[in-house]
Amino acid sequence: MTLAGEAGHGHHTSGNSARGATPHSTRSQAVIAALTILLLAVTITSVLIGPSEMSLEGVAGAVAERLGSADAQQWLREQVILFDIRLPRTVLGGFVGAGLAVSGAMMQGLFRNPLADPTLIGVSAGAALAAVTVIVVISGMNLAMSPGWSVQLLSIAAFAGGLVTTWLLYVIATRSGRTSVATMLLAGIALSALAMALTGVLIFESTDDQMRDFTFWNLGSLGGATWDRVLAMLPFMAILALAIPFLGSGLNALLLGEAEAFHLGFDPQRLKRGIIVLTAAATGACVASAGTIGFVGIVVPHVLRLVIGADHRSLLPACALLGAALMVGADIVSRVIVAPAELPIGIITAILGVPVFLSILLRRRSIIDI
Amino acid sequence: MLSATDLHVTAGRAHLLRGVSLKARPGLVTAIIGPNGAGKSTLLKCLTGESRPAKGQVLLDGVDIATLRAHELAGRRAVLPQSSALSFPFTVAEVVGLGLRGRRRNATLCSEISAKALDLVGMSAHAHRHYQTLSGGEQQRVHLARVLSQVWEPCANGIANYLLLDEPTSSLDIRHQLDVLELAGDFARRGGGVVVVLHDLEMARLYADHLVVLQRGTVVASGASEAVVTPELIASVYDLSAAMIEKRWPTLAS
Repeated sequence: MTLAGEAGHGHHTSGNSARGATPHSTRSQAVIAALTILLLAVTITSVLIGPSEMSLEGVAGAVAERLGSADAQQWLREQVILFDIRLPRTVLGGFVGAGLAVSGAMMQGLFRNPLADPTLIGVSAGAALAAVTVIVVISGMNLAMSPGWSVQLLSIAAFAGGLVTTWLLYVIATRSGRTSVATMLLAGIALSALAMALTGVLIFESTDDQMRDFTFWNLGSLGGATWDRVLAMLPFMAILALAIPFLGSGLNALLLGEAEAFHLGFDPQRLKRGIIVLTAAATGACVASAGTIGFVGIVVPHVLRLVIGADHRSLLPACALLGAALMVGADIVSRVIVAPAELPIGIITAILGVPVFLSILLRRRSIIDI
Repeated sequence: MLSATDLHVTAGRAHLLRGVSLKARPGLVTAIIGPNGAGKSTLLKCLTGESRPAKGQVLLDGVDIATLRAHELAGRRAVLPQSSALSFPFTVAEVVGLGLRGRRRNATLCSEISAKALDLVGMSAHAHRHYQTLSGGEQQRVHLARVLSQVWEPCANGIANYLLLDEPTSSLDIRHQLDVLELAGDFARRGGGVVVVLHDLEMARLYADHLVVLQRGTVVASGASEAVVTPELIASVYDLSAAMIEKRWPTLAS
């Protein structure tokens, strides 16, 4: 066997049946295109469907009036429903879904395990605790703040809470470069329970309107969507979107181990820090806007890995699209299924997610072994 | 040249390396041998830049590798670890593609190199299989292809690249053990440098040009293979009595 294609032992095929990653990337591109169309379709459906009936004529009229091409304001009710209620809710749902799915995929790459999920291992709970703490502090100090600012502050606090939790988990679960999955999950359960308990105490002690309720922080909701919240999430989402193209190959290399990532030309410490900060930022922003919504971060990456493989260069953008579509879709169900009431969206994502989680666990029991 | 001078590595109270020096010249296969716990893998880790010695330095063409960035090092040397875990569904071609990070702008060249590298290790037919479905030995060969594709040119513009292999034969059958060492030899003949940790003295004697024998963290012998592997050395390092038999591997007769 010699280099440069000279005659070798002849036991291996001489033809170039290996065509690099071409078939996969074509497939990934097709899947990403399909997901974009799916997201568009779900978004339009979400804007059109809701407890209040709207005729297509009303929708068209409201759009025309809002865009300024009609003088009369005969579709005011439709305008409010479309532009101040459904549209921000749909956009926020898309952001939250994309953020949670991408954080899930990045965290699974970081921990080298398909069961890591920001909600499952307590990162969301840590973020929620920090957000609730900020609400208590603001109302306790009687600080006058515009709604826009307080929403922004909530996101930053939730980011910090998520960051501390992720970092704690990584420190607890990693010993000499190896991350123990069992330790990570168990420590996550403990941290999550502690954060939830403290959040509960703060909520029941507080009378603030902003506090919302325990269900919001526990099961999540897009019900409070406003343009302020969309704006508060925007910078976090923008940073995530800008970072995705640079993280793909690094995450791929990290899957082989930290030493191998270094051999392949990445600085594993920098890479890990970047991933932890981004995951915490995305999760924190999602929690501040929509509470704790579980399992999106497990289901979406898992399903996509089955279809397009684990290459993070295509997996991360695909996760963003499918995560957004899934969340907007789940929100439609949550609004419609018990209308005029609303089902907390976390119930729907849990019903979808738990079977996926258990199926990963049953098929690959070895990954949990201590 | 890749050289280490006076390396000291400690872990707690244990001295893993005590004043180890080594020179790996381009064009030669340098093998590190020694009994279990002698410090072979620790020495290799220092040469890759993964571990920093407590004292001493590793120079690549005169430059301390501690001053080089990860991506600069990755362009000059590739490392085959003893084993690699991968718990996500990558295809064989994708695993090889991980070695081609620096060349990602040229997709055609990448797939060409990836295909040739897989061909060299005899895994072409499996390019689109999932890595997890391969046997341990096949996985090791895929990683070898990844490593070869990372430093595809053994010597580019007169500058030698290096292959650092940590017991590359451990999970392979005899046929593929010989194949791997011949690939390493070929890399050296084409101007690259190879440092390989080996267990098998016979393999080391046959395939390495230069041997470094470690025992309890120090170099006890080094030099040309024929001169180093002697019954006396085996007796002192491995505590075994041995006789040299001048008979080569039957598979090498062809």
